Amino acid sequence: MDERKGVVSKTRKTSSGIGIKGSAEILLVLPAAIALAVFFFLPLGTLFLISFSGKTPLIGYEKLLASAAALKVVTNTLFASVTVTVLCAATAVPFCIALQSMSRTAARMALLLTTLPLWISILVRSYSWLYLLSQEGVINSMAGLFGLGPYSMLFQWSAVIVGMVHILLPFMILPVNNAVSALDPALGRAARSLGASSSRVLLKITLPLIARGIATGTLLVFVLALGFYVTPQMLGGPPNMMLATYIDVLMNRTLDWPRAAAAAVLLTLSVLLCFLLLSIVSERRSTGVIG
Amino acid sequence: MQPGRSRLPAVVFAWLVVAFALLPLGIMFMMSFSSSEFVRFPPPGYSLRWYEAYFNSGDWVEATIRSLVLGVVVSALSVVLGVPASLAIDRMGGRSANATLAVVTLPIILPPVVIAVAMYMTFSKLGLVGTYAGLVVGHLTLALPFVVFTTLASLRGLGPEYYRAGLSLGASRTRVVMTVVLPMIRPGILSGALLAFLTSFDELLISLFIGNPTIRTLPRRMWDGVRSEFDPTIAAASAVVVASTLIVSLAVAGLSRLAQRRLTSRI
Repeated sequence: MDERKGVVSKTRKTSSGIGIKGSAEILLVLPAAIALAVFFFLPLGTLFLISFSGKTPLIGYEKLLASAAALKVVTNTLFASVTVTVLCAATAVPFCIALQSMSRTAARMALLLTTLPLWISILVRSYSWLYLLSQEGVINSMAGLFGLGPYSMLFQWSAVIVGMVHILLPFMILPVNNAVSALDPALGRAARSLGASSSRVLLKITLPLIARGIATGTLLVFVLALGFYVTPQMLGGPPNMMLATYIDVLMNRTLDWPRAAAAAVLLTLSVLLCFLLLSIVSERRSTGVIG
Repeated sequence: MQPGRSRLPAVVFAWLVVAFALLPLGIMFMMSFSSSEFVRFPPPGYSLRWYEAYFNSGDWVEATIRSLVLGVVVSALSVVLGVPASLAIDRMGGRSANATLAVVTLPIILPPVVIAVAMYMTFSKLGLVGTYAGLVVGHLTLALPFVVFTTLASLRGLGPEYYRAGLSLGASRTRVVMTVVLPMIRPGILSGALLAFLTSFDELLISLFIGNPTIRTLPRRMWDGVRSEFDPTIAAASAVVVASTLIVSLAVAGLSRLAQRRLTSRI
């Protein structure tokens, strides 16, 4: 009897005792929260403050926006990010649609193999392209068999773009494939039985229905491309400098902290803006526009 | 889908994409066995000289061991901090849980260079630049979110029933968590720990900014190698990294499948 009373009071406590529940939760979250606050948010806040330090509060931003080098770097970053995003979409969409016409095992295998490199470090994946693109690398020795080349392919945009597409492709494939596999195959069959051509089915049914998957992938790839550091430096040359490398240069060679911080703050804001868009896109999908 | 002729181009295209994803890594693997010290394809001969160079170089071995130890320390700390935090987030209401998650996600969505620069500016004042502790806490902020995600996913899969059942049988909250909840979400915690390990093991930018030439991690050693001159030892080191990464990631995949099976079989 006594025990049972205890049980009743205990269960009551957990269902109604919000105060007790709240304080226990705070104790559990506290260590992680302190670690993130001190070692992540404090540095981030300091970065923000440093971007407004200097002789006048805005001098870091003024110097940044007035410099031709910064403008070039921003143009480079946008150019590379847009190109990489478009190429990833142009590869991932037909790829995911093609998976549908394969047997289940083959499709699953192909999907696994294309997304497997996600686990491997960007450093290693970028490095591996040196073997394909260098003067005596795989592509040039193949071309040599046909009496062509050698072409110089490294340390220019094409190498940077190929390397980045290779690294970012899985981030496009995963959301697009989610959208494509959620498609009802009956829709295509119905349209075809009503006399629609394959291209018409693609344009009028498939693409509109997977548009949100493509939008998610596009934002994800674009936002990751904006911050790329390793690949442009390893496969590109000085004219291919992107924002992340520029921040490093301002920080370690120019030793201009306010300007480096200003550039980092601007990069952060663009990334956050893209993620805001991303959350809007994915929220809309969950409210169910399809139909 | 119409079978036959019209399907072939699609299938060929799909396998070409697979080849594009895997070929560079395959070639690098092959070249790590080359007997030549230049990039030459096909290799003039095969040997293990670059693996010997890797395992015999104090420099490379030291960097590898440092990265392994760092990864284990970061992973352990992430679990110690991340699992209790996930238990609490799981019990929070929808809105505050989402807000907390958004905050926790921030370290993995911001560009690594921004985080590294920000940490450098603050850590230099805290005396953490060029120290092992600086690397640990730097990597910790990037690894922690993964433990929170996987643990939280397992907790949500588990649902509140076990918890309620335990309480109604008279066990204390702590006892239910220790004896019922934690053992059931163990695969989720483990895969979080492995992801945390990989995050630290592959991390370059914090190691570049917060580390120094005397505490080089493996990625930093590779980066310095790539930037100075062509050295096939990097290919051998990469092959070792790729092989161990794939083992860890297969373990993660296996664990998440196990976690799912465990939950579905008990419910």
